Amino acid sequence: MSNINRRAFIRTGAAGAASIMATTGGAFAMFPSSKDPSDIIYRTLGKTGIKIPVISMGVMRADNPSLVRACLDNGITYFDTANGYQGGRNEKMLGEVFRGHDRELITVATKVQPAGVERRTGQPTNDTTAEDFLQKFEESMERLQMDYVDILHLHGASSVEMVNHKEITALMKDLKRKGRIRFMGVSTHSNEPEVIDAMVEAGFWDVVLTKYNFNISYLDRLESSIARASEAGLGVVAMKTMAGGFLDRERTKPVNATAALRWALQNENIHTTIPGMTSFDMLEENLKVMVDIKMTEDDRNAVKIASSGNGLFCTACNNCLEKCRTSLPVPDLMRAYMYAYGYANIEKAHTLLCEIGTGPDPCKDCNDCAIDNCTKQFNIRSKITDISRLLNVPHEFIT
Amino acid sequence: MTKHSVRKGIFFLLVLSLSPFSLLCGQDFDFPELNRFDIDNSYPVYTPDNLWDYINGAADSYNALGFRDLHIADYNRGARHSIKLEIYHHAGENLAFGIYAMERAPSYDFFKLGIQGYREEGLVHFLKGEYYVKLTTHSESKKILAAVDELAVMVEAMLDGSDKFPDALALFPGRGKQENSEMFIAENVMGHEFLNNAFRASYNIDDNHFEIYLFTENTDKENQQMLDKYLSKYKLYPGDEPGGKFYFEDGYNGFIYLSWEHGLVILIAGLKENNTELANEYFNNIINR
Repeated sequence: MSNINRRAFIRTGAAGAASIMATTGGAFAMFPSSKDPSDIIYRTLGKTGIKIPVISMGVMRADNPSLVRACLDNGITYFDTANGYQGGRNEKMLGEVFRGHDRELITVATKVQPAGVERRTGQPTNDTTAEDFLQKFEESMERLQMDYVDILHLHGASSVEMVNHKEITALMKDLKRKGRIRFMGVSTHSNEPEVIDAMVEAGFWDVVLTKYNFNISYLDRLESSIARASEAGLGVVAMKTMAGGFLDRERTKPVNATAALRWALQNENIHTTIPGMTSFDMLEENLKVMVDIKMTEDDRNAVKIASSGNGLFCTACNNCLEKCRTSLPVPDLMRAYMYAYGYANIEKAHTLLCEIGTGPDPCKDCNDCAIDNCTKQFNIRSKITDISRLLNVPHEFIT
Repeated sequence: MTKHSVRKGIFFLLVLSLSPFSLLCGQDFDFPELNRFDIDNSYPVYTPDNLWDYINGAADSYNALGFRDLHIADYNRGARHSIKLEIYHHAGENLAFGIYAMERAPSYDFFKLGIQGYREEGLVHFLKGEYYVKLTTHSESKKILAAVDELAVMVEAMLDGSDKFPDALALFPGRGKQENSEMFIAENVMGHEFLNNAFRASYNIDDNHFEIYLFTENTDKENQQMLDKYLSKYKLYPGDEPGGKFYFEDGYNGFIYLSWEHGLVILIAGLKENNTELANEYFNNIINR
């Protein structure tokens, strides 16, 4: 149990100088949920053999070293950061916190994003070089003040070509041989099944860090790939388990974090999760899961509710374009829908509809809709019909 | 009832049927022409719901700071040279400052563009009003790097908004302040969910490394509620009227020195125990500005 001593305080008038009246108050427990380390649920990170709690720390948005220390004090041992987080301050903060700490007791994962990767396709370009990658890695090591990191991830791979990038993988293998990194990993946020399958195929990767939550539309495919990876001995770390954190755009309806984490951990191929933590309250919630991953009825309901809402917003994946019989610019029409319903900006929606020029009833020539591959599972025809009616309102009434 | 008012009534009924509403606004952007470059603006407009698709995990930080939309264009010169332009629009100037400040490192090469800009290898980032703008190129050609600068100036001129830092930053005393360490934190200040909307700056004086937080954006009522939650956690209770200085040990963040005035809460974290003299020096300096 982590105890802290509470000091007494002073209060003076606004204009008065502060004086101190210090007494020792009663101690209180910081996080009762993790009072006994033996309660913590551990899993092994694949062939790395590293035994870690099912809850780890996603450090990305944290900028408070006290929060990292609180994680350490409560049994969390795995910390995930990246070269690019907070302009490098994230790694620097971890380096300061871990300085003098027993290095054997913590697992540090960082990530380096290769330069020049084409964002829309995930393909490397001539600018994707080992030289650039090494320079960023050295920068990370300096910030972390460490001789080695436990896991170095190739950050944000979304194509098979990146997983097999000759120069960069050769460099990472070399760093591993030299003991600068213990294990090689890949982090992936899109096209994850293909990326994970390619990692298994390649045979030299140790850990995958993948998006995984109840709201993924291709969950079956992703789970199959994760199972293959786990079977092949890869350590599997789940991120984005909160599916965006909020159920609404206004950020007023948070996802039930406990339920979302427990849902992810029902899959035994997930070896740990890295929920992003920015508050002590979040930490306390996560610590409850660290000792109890069994889903309650409330958890199941929360996940059911959260996964039933698809939101208003098109991801512009463009899958629909090849299916639409009348070649409508569906993502643009969905954007107009978003302006009207999401932003309440009728004028903008109207202007966009005028620019698109598909008229007030673009779906009139089809009896049924051929688009059956919407990533968000929208009823496309209904949304297009709904928003296009706005063109029946004269523009002068809107501006 | 006139014909006009009937039509207007019909329109408002239509508007009412389009719910839920928010006051958020997107923005369309006419990308400026750049001599000898072709513009590819075929990217979707990214919004809070799909920003993940573009910047992955970093989207959480942007969304927490009121991200509204992102417009992107590639400026291509032949097959070899390109400049990527990204214009991030946030819901307020403090929020835009927050995301800009979070990604800048004090060691960068800063210059005046909009509110502030910096140049690093192959990139120019700058802030203006509610817009955080990023230009990047992988080219090392001097001509292309000059074109990046030229484009940055053109974009800055086309964007509305203030070219001055938020007023609150002027309250931070200069003595010991680390240059360009100022931040705006919208939520979970110091890891506490009840502390929101603070400006922060880092200080180094002798052996003391500490942070000053200024809460300038809240009403007295909001500050009262915030401090009720914070102080009562440590068995302290502010009075009904704004005012007072408090010194206590926050169970997570160590010793805290706190001053509460009308419209302003100042919090100092990181100072060692019994350092009220230094804390008071800073409190007075800020209050008397």
